[in-house]
Amino acid sequence: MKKYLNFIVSCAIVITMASVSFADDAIKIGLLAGFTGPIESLTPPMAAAAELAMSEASDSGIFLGGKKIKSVRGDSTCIDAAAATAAAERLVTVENVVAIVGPSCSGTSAAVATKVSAPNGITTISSSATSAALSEVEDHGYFFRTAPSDARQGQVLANITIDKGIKKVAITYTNNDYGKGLSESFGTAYKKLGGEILMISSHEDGKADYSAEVGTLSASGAKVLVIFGFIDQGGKGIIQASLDSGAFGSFIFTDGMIGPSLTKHFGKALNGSYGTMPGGESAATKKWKGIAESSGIAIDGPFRGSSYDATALIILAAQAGNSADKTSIHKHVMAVANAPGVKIFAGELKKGLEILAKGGEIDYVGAEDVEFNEIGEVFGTYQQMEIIKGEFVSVKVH
Amino acid sequence: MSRYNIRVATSFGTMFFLLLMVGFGQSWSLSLSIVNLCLISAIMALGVNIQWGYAGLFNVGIMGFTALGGLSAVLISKGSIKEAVKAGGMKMLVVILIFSLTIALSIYIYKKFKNKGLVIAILLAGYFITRHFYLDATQTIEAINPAFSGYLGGLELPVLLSWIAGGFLAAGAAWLIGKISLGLRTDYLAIATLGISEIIIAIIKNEDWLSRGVKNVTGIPRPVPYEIDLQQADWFNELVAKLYAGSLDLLPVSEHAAALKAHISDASIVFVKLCYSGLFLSVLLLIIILAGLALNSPWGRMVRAIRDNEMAASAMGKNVKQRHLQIFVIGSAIAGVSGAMLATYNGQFTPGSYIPLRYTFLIWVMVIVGGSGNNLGSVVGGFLIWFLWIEAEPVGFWLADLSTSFLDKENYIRQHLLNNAQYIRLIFMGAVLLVVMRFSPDGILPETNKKL
Repeated sequence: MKKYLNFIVSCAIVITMASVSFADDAIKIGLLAGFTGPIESLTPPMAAAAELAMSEASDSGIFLGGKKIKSVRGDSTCIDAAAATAAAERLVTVENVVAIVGPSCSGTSAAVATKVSAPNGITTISSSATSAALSEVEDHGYFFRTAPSDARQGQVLANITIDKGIKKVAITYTNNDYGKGLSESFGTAYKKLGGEILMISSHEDGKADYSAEVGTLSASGAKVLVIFGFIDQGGKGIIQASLDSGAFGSFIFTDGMIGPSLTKHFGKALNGSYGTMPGGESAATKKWKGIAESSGIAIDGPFRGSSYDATALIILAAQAGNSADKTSIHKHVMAVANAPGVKIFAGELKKGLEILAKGGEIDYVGAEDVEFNEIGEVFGTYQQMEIIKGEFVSVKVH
Repeated sequence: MSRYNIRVATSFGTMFFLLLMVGFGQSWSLSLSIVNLCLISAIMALGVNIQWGYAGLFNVGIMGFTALGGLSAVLISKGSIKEAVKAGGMKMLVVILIFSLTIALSIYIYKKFKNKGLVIAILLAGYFITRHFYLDATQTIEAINPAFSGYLGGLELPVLLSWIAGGFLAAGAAWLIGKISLGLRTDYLAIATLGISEIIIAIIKNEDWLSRGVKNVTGIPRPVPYEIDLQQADWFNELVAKLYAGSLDLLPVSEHAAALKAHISDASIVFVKLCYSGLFLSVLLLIIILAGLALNSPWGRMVRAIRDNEMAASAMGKNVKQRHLQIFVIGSAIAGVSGAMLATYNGQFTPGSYIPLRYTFLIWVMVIVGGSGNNLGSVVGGFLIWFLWIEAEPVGFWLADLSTSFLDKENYIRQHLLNNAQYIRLIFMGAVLLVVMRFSPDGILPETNKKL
């Protein structure tokens, strides 16, 4: 019994000590991402990009008169809405963060937006939740996103495909809201433009062999396969099985499939395949690439620039209202993101903070050409990536 | 007080104390959100305990039943999509009619003529006819505004009804599954239930006309008020003003309005959570009382006798198969109720998030750690494991911070540990399971009346 009591007492002490938060006057921004769970390999660079923006503002020495920013990380798990809301609640009510960057995934975003952001009045900017359905979530205006909705990417891709004269395709998508959403938006746009979809089938991630799926798809008679999937998951398996059996030689991708690991693995076998991914070869993106590289953030994956943007918007909104109060931040997010004002690119936070401190106006462009529509979502620019000589090359911006 | 009673008192006391500590040390809103999930987890654990603890049925398909509960929350409470119902409602009705007709006819033929060939022919014909109409119906429904609806919607009834409906839906599925697979013994049953739960998830994920599949349903109506409405309600504002009158008086008049606003916002969140806690607690108490009564009745003794020695019980003339089916249905129904409660609390149904780690094995850890065969044990297990599941993260940060505090701020090891503190959650779970199994192999609260 005594042992048991000892255990309880020591547990209690640990918890108490853990729950005493250290008082310092740094301003805290919550970073809610799926650090564990299905996208855990994507989140560390996203978090690093977000923290880069924070340290940039801290180091400038002029953020709210020289205040520092501290990031407080929380795990949104990507799938468990209950754990994600508990983590968000901890950030808001215990750590007293002024705003939240995140959550990463669409399902947890909807839960956090309705259960934590709206009731607490906390500005929440997700950098990677792309589900189209999030546009209609009851967030009372507190949920924003710097990653464009999937609905848009499907349209852009359909336009490119028709322009290339490809009139018949088969589609396979990974069976989640990302793949399904894209397949629907692409399908609708493609049909409207006169294309014909010979077959749509879903695939589950994490299987060892996809030859059965590829067999069904090729039986439809299509020569080109559209893959809405993930590079490290089923998408790669589908390509492998297609090349092995000679069913398809040409593929169409979206952001989840574009990365150097794909071309490294398949090389020139994929020549002529193409796809879209967010971001453009604009001045903004070029600048971001330089900054990311010099800070050691790999840019060969999605959502890094958008994470930087989400954080930067919160920082600039705080500066615009000259207060780290949550209401003030919420009031100014739209104003700093959109015109009119001086254009601010990634790496120029100091310039933006200076202008705002003097009472000027800015139009944050950031890493990925941020421009919010009336419900706080970016329109999104996409670059057309083609595989030429075994490497992804950006050929056009849409 | 007996040794056992002391154990019960200390474990519940500790849990209560820990949650109070979170309330005082961190925040009441966090503490209550942990409590609410603890209550739901406790109900799930009770469902497993009834199957495993009472009757020794090794069901690793809890996930499927909780998902069915969540599905019922959507089907009962969401508003119906008028266009979709208009376009495809009748078609779907025809499909269901043909399908049930096929099943009914084949059962009738089988019973009347015992002609297997004829039955197979009817089933095959039925399948093709159903499929023909079904494809047309689903395509019609799914084509209507796929990004935001694309399904039939629900019945627009109060969401609380779905807790009962979820129980019935899960019970129905369990009856069907039980009929097929309960003849199997322990490990075979485990494999069968694991597979079947994945089948249920696969169906829900792919039947978009039913609940939008992987595109998720958000905005399930609440049985309790919305925080935003409370913040604007006069009665609530007056109540909060009255409650905080003392502390407000201490502030200068200029800060009154802002302070009151902050109090109202906090209070509205706590109020909503308390409403949920009340609902969940009443369901938990109801189930505990019923389960306790059942366990201590002649029926409960019979079930445990079957668990401990199936042969002997069977030789005494007890209908083992029938009891197993009963237990399987009851336990799964409770899992279904808790699934509906969870979907209601989260306000959304996301089929992609049902993974065995979270909805089957975590629940099993709760039962094992709490003490299988003991209802109170399952409740304690549910509370403790969920508490650690959430609090492991801040504790992990704190541990990583403390253990490397002597290192330089930019030190690689320190940075690495701090950046990966989230993973301690999984280590914690393993450690707790090992520690409890080592020092109390029967769980925190072992089964009391093991001997009949």
